[in-house]
Amino acid sequence: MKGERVVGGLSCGQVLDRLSDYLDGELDVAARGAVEEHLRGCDGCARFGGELRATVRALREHLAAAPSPPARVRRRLAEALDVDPRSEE
Amino acid sequence: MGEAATEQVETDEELVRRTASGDRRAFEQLVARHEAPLYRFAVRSCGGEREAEDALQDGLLAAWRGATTFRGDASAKTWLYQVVVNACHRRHRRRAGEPQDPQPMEAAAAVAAGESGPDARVAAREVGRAIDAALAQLGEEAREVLLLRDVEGLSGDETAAALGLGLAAMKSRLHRARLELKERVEAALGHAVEEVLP
Repeated sequence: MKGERVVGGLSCGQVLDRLSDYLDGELDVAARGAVEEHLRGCDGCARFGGELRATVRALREHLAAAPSPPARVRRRLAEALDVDPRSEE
Repeated sequence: MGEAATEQVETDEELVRRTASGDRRAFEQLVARHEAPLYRFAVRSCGGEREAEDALQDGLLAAWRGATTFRGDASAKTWLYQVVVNACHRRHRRRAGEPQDPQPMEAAAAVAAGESGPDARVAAREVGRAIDAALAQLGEEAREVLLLRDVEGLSGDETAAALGLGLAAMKSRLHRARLELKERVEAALGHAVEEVLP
């Protein structure tokens, strides 16, 4: 990683590897503390992490509104089940 | 007291057990509970509503026919995602030899020439178009892990089970997919997302 630094006992590359687990709240207390210490002391990683979190949040928000399944989905399934051999067991 | 108040709500797993014994009504109840998120996933994963309808149909029929193989290692919800993921895979494979959909490049170009301005809604629309373009450009594996974990909100274990992966492999795939999404969205926008959204 370009301009790699070690802050809080972690290199920028190590923080990058842990970033998704950190954003998902899946690091244990010690690992989370080390990442946060690095982020406090490294502007580049703090900015990158913020952008990654914002991108994932934007993805979630953008796709939250989605089309509902049209009625024909259930109708087609019912028709297929009508003629499926298993329905006649 | 009315019937609705006294009627016990069956769990998904009970409905699968009844489905396995050939109870079509139980299967239709199960479908009614889950078809909306499954359809939403299929639309995004397959890249269109018509393809999604076909994949959902294939997947649900596979679930009906394969209900006897449900072992309960994962939840019924995860199992249903699994069958729809597999149906989407089959459709992707079938389409692999067909001409590529021109949408990704067109969408990316539309973003590059897109609106700009201080209004937050305009900015959100611009980001939305960049996300659509980026998702269309991602590989199938990256797209589906993002959709299951980050959009549908499945847990890590559920996402891993739906994709037939171990938890560590799923996490690794998710992380790579998020990084690629970020890179592609920024390429389409010309700047990072955080600079746009408040």
